[in-house]
Amino acid sequence: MRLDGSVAIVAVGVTEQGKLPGRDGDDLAIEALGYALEEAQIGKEQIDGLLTCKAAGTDAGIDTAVGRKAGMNPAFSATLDYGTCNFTLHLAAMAIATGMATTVACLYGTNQKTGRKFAFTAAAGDDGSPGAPYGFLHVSGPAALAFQRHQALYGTTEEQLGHIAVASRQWAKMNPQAIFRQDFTLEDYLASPYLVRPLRRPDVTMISDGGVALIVTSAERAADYPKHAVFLLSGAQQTGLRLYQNDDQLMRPWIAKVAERVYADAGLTQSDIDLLYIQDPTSVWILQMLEWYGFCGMGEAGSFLETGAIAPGGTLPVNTNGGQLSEAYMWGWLHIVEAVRQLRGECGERQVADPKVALYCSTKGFEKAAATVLANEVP
Amino acid sequence: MAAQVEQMKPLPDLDDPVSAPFWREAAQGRLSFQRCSVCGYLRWPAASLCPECWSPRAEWAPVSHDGEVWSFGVYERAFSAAFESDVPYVVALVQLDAGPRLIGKIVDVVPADVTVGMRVTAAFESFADDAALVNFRGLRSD
Ligand SMILES: [Zn+2]
Repeated sequence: MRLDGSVAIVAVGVTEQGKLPGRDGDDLAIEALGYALEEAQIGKEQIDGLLTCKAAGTDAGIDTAVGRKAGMNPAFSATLDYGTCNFTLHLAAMAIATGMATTVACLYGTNQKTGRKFAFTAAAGDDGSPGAPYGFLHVSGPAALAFQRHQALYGTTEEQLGHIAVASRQWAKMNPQAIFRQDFTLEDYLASPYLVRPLRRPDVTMISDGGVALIVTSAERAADYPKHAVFLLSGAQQTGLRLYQNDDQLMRPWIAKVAERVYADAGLTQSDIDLLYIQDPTSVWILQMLEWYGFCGMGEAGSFLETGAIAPGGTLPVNTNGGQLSEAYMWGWLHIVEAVRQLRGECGERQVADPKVALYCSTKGFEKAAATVLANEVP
Repeated sequence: MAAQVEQMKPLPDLDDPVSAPFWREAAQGRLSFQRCSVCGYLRWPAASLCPECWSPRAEWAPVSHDGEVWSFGVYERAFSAAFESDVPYVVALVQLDAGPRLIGKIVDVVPADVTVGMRVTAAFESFADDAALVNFRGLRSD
């Protein structure tokens, strides 16, 4: 999807993150929208598109229920059954490009940490594969298999993988919004217990409560908003819906198609990316996507990580918010918020010097992938 | 001899007419898949339509029990109380010689001895009078 900066994010809103007992997921999404509206200096009546995202294991995130609760009758509304924000953002861009809406609110809110118990013990990968009777539970199962395969093929070590959790924490320490900010070294990583060997506890996200909202509009309208707009240059997706019928499905080789399209449609290559965001339910997602998006060669992510490339001061800033491993688990939505704030130059101590272009890559389990290129100027 | 699975574990739904034959065949010591009557494609997971040609017609066809470990992980923590007494246990994705890829436990093995690429064969584990899960155990290379 070639956007050439025709669509922009003009405001973001984020609630407190962590344990928010007694809060409702939809209330948190609406609270986040309140902050975004305040940043945009508009009222809810000016929102004519409402896109919500279901929160896994809860009832939250249905557009019809959120609209009723928030007292909104937008021209267009829809619900996506899964998160990461990329899929929602692409739908917002399409709605704006086609005239279905001019000003779209994208919302996510969840109380899955303290509310209804999130079904993390469901069959691994929530993909309809009959793994549960064998104890193939939790996302760390398929992620462990994917990493073990990477190790066998390329000699990647646990220590190399550990650089991801450590770098994420180094970034999170400079992010006041992050839940996990205590010191965490490679030695600490290697001393952490395994969940599913070869993956350790720090390789896997901890779920949290919270809400996130974005306001998306056309580039022409974006000029009227108080904050500097962040423009979408391109968006791309690819599915692997056949799952276990696909070869090497846990490696998700079809992500390479997203990379090819998202760069081509933006007229850029990976060397133009100043900031990289990768949605990270486990560290393995980062390992895989560094390769699929061409930041290192196939099989070379381990040695690339070892150089400290993705840590503060490295050559490629990745998840400068701390990601889902250290900031909070908002199913990828906070990665986009961080990209917007970095591109606006609002990130204080962790601000990367003069970034112009960010790439956000995400996946819905082993079923689909998406990416968006964002920039603080229209090329 | 097949081991008995505790009742509290999540078990396959034997009331599902589409998938139940898989588990019933396993109880007979057979690894069987629906073979499409039109194009010959082996369906896994079991389905009411062939994902290739969309024909609903299929016969349950026994295939070779052998395959190779595509990858594996060692559960050092149980994510459900039902598996607490099993920890540590090995779960693998097995590429069958017949084509389909199955998730199953690798049994009768020390976790440290499992490797990617290891040759394995089906090991059936009964969970009801006439139904069994399909695990795997190492194939001797001699
Ligand atoms: Zn067929």
